[in-house]
Amino acid sequence: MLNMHPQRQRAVNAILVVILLSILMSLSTNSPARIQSLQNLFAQALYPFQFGASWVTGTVTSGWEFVVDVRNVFQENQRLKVLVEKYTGIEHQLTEVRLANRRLRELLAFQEEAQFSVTPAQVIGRNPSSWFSTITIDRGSFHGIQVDMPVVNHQGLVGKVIQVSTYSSKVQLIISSESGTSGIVQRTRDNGVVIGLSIPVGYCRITRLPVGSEVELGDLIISSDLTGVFPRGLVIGRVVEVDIDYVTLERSALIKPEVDFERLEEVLVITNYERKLD
Amino acid sequence: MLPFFLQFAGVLAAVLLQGSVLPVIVPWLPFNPALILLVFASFKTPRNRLLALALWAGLLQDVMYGEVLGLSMLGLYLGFMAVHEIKTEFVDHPFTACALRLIIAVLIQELTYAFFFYIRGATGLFAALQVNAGKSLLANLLLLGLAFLWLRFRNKKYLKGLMEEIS
Repeated sequence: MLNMHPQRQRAVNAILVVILLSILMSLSTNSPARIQSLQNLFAQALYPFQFGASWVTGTVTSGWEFVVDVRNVFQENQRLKVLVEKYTGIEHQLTEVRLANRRLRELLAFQEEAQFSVTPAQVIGRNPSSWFSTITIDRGSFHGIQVDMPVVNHQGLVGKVIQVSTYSSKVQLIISSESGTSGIVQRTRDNGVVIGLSIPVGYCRITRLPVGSEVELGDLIISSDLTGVFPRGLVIGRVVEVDIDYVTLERSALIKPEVDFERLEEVLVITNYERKLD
Repeated sequence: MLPFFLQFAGVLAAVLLQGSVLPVIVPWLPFNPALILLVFASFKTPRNRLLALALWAGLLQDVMYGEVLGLSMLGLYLGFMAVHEIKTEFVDHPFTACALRLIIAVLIQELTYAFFFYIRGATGLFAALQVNAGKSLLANLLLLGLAFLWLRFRNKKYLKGLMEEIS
């Protein structure tokens, strides 16, 4: 063994650790499959703790919400009774319209798009660092989840699965600065590229819009299936700022996502979307 | 000093708190209780064990909540290597000593993240670093303040021991 001065020994140890961690990071980003089993092993061992912590938090917060809700329940009840009466009338009208719509679709031989098969999942963790926008969900390969599956909720597009272990998976949100996909301005049908932003946090930007694009404030941006990652038509967000590059005349727009990422509790993983690129 | 096993279990609890509990209650602030725990541990824990604890905290963060395996480990390892070298003789109050160590650890961790994104070709990193480091410092100094309040009322003995260690 080398007989080194303790100070030098410390420095050598530190350099070795840094080199090992750099190799680990490089493997994790460039060829994740090579360390998948190792990561999977740790993730499985830690899953009960993670699930337990999430369950306790969920129980406490829903208990608190219940207490708050009870306070307003009478007023809410009165208001809802009025709404139910109003909507009962509308429901009858809607049924008529729905039937008429179905008949017309059949007449036009309209091919309805296949319904997605979804797996509901609970958010059990979030990356605490502001640099990353990742959530952990309680569904993994055991439940049929695979890498690159789109994730949505009732508000719109949430992101895509980037890592899968047996009982949990990690989802990269569309607001992540590492995220990028194609999008469409719903009103004008212009195609662009939607990227997550590191600043301002929680927003996206649609770029590469055509020179003559007439994108406006408030326009709805939906997903496009051009890149093959997400199905067409999922709501991404609304335009809150339009920018013009006066050299290239290219337009881009800042998007505020429709999904409330700070209060994300349940999501749906689309399990039967066949990627175009595959 | 707490036994080895208890320190590791404490770090696990703190990481669970920061990834599965606090983001649900206060999603807008990146609280990092594991960092606070490591700062407290840094006064009495020997260097090698402190660095092992930092690596353990990083591993837990990366496996349970992170995107890149090794990144939090590297940030925490470098942060607490620097923290261990800090001489705190010139500060006479435990809060100031802890805050100083916390600031160093947070800044080194944020710089590690920024460097990682720089290598991956991200743009606008300086602005992102300003905002993220600012948020992280604010949140964790606030958490440190709350921890001190709690120690003052519930565990005066520990605070006294910490003061003796600093002086």
